[in-house]
Amino acid sequence: MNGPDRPMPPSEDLPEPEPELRDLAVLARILQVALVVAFVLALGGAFVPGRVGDVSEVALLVVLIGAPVLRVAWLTVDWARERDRVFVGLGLVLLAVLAASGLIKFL
Amino acid sequence: MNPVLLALAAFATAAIGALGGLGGAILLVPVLVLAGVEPRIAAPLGLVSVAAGSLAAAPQQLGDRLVNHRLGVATEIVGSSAALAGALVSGIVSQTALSVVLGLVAIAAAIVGGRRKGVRNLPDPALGPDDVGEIPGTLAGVYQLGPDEFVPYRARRVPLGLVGMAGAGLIAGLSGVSGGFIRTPASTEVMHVPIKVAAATTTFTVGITSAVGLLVFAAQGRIVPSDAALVAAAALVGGTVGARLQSRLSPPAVRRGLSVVLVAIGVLLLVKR
Repeated sequence: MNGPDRPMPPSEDLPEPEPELRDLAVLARILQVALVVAFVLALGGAFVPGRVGDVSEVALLVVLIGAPVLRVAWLTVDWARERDRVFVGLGLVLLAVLAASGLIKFL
Repeated sequence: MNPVLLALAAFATAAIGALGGLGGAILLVPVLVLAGVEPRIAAPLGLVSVAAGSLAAAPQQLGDRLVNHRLGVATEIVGSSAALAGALVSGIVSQTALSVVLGLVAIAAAIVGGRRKGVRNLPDPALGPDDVGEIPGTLAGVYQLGPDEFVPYRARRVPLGLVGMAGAGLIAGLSGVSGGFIRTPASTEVMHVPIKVAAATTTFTVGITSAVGLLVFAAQGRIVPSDAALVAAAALVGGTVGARLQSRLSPPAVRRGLSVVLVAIGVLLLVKR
């Protein structure tokens, strides 16, 4: 807590966040936007009749399916920047497993 | 089904799912079936609620730095592979036998988690707010327990934990639920990951599992779009509420709540078979 005898330091004196934390903050903001978009699309799909409702329903599914895949891809790129090689490999394996699962179940 | 009841069921199950890291489909699908919805229609709606709940919880859980993504990705490889295997052999497994096994597993997980007292991972006074998060290159990290309490943790008995994740994935593939109700207890009781980290990490991974399942259901034309939109809207609100509640509750309270819900799931599965 910053009382009257402990003024906030000027912003340039604050420590820079770690690269991973900064990237996770960006990812959190992207997912926050996806959440709002999904909610608007869900309301549109549930309550708006006609073509707008139909398009909202399809777009909602795209957001719900795409968000976790985007998250894994984002993390993999983030770990590559940090040279965390083991987890870059694991991220790529997971993306490959997801692609294979989608393809096999489709077929 | 009455739209208001459908929305309420989706809200409640997504909130509980995000709070305890369960996914929520394991609760929503039996409720919908008991309310008269056909199982082949109820299963996709369950996955819609899981995907929406996972997305809704993400901003709060990322902000709290509760999710261990490295643990999630490592375990999800095994879980997704097993889910694929389960889906491929699902036609030859008796759904009644599966319900009995799932019910007994849920009750056993509830007993193991509920009997444990106190907190396994203790705060380290040398740690501060800057330490919170994952430790690169490892399956370890630090999470914030209280205003000035920071707890280090490390996933233990990883091979055994991966067996549990494979079991959860297999069940997910066989039954069409996300398997979160097995993943979270496997993380806490086998791998000794703190309950809040385990629940947040499972909420992340069940989102991945449900995405693949939804893709298939969409291709099969099994998703009723208007119902799915209503379930998603309610689950997005429920997931947000569940994640905020989880952020405020103590770990033992989350664990006790999880045990109660697991018993309910177990009984529901044993009764509905």
